[in-house]
Amino acid sequence: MALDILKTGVDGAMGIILRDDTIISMGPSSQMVLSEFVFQPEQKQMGMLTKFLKGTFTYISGVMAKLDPTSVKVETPEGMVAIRGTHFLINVE
Amino acid sequence: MHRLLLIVIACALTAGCAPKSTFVLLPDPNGQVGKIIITNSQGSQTLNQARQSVVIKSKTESPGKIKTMDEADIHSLFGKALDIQPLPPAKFLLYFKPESVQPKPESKAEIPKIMQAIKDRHSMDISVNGHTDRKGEADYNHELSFQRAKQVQQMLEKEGVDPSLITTTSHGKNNPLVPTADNVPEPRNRRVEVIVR
Repeated sequence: MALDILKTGVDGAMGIILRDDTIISMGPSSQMVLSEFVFQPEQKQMGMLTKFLKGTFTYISGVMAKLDPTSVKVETPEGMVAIRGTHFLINVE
Repeated sequence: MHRLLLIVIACALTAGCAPKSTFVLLPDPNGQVGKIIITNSQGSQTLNQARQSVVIKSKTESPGKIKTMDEADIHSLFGKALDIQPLPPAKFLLYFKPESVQPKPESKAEIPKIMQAIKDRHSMDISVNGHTDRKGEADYNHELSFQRAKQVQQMLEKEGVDPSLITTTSHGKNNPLVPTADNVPEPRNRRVEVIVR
């Protein structure tokens, strides 16, 4: 998975469950990019990069963040989040 | 010059021009409060209490002071995203007697719970994964775990689950829940795992 762009319209909202059980939801007028997602724990290959560009988001981290927190990267235009446990919200204006 | 100044003032008043990021920590679905560290090139802040929040105004400014956001503000800002947040996947284990492809009676009682989990999530993605213990030949066990998974799949279909939503896999003796030496019978490994996403 190289680059998935996810957008919601003014009345839209969306829930996403990734293969490692990461749960993301987006409120209206929101935009994010899933830039990287590799989850092969048996081969010790893991990596995830989500970029939250605009709007409101909820995030519950999954198995990947438990096994190797440094493999999970969350970015906004202004900063990034290091995850040590699991449930948070992001608003990008 | 005056026009530029006016635009700058307007931006400051509405706070709508420059992007900024707000981060809020919430309790996990199980009630525990975790920890997140918000960083950029200018500094970092650690959130470890429920509803703590921090704002970064720009990438050239360090994360601001930690504040606590009240429930009403969280609801008005994030309500629509929180309302649609999917439930975490539900996992079920059904156990089998040696050689048998029929779940034990107490495991059959899991079927209504699985149906409820499917309903609660409006699930479109159900995994049924068959396993055996490590007693016996690999080929035999692979077929046995396939038949176990197929049996559970049919039980779900009989309850009305759309077959196209179910993915069935067979792991034979390769993926024990409880590690044992080869050829050891172990009841906890004779199982079908059902994951409802």
